[in-house]
Amino acid sequence: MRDLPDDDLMVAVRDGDLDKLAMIFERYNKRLYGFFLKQTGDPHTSEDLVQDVFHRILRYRHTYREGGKFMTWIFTIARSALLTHQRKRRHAKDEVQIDEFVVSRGPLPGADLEKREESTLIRRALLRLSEDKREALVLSRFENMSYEEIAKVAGCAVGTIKARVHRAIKDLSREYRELQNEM
Amino acid sequence: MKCEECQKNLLDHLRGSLPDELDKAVELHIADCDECAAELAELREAWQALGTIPEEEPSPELSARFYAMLEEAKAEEAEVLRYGARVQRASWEKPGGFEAWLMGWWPGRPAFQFGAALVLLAVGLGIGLALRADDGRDAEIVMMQAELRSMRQVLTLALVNQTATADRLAAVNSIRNDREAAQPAIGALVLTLKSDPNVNVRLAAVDALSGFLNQRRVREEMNNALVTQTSPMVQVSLIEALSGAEDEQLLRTLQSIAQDEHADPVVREHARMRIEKRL
Repeated sequence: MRDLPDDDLMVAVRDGDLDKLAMIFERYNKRLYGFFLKQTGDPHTSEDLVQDVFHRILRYRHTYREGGKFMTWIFTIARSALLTHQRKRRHAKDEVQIDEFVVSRGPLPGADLEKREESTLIRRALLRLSEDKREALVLSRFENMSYEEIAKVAGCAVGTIKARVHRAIKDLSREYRELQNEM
Repeated sequence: MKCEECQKNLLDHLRGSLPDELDKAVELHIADCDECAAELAELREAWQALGTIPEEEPSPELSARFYAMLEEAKAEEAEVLRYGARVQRASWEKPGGFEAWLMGWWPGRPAFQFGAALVLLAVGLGIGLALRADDGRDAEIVMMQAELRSMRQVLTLALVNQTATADRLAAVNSIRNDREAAQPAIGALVLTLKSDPNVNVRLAAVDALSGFLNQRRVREEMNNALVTQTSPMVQVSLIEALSGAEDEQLLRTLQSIAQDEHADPVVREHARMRIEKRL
């Protein structure tokens, strides 16, 4: 049961066995949380977004078609939840500069000072990227998705994604250096 | 290899995702080109720095919220199933009843079911005409009519339970066209509206239920469906149907949709439009 593929679990959920969604939650909640945290820099928003993803899965479970790749499906939903959040945030007048967020809940366990500084700088640099570049880079670097998979999630051509990830890492490198020089 | 081509492949070189031959060509170029080597060093620094971002864990509150939502969804699902089972039990699953006996004779294939229905209607009509002249057998006629009604009820419910979309659609449409048969099948129509996976069947169910908007229960179920539906088309169709019925609950439902940030933008706009018309 524990080894059931994601696709089988989701088919069971679609067909009314809602308990299987708990197994999907256990497999994916941390990954989704990490994805959202790197995009928003805010732990509370990230948790809200994970909850939103599972709420959407329950609502749209009838639309799931077996045989597809579950991971791309769930990240497509995650992306959609994120876009809704970003749109809402843009409309709100009290927009916050997210690169100033304290993204960590507390000190990083076991990390020395230099590593902690490096980690803080790169997270701030990441948050300075445009939303589409950050999304493509995070899916590539942290979710180990291929360009084809990211293209499916983002709904655009593979060539566009490849160029976007390349530009993202170049922009990140520049932002990272700038932040290092500011120190 | 030229610098432009090399730089295009630097990231994939870092990721280790280049085919061997191309990867070697990139390495050879870098060995001879200071500019590309510097570019690779910069990208590598950023790429590796990304690796220092720790994987942080969500708070336990996330799990608690998820499991609460799941329990709620399971309770709703169970309610829908219970409601469906009640509809079926009420109609044909009484042990030893007339309908149980009838079900034993019920053909499995939809085509035969339609055929059987037509034959039964013709027989009923024939009996009715034959008995029409005889005023002294009123009681028998009433009994025959009751049996015929009951048969139609079995027919409609059996069809709603078909697995093929086309059969379910035909069933819902046949119910819509026969108000007398539809009255006992309202529960099945509500169940179809709530749980049928096919949008066209759900739309047909909305249409069929629209004939019974004078019943409070039907309006309540349609209001509930308006909130839980996943298809914007079905939601808009429900709003239109309920708007024509002067339903008192609709305004509250529309307001909650208009404020629901997860709702489909088209449905929200439609809800807002309807609210404005009412206020």
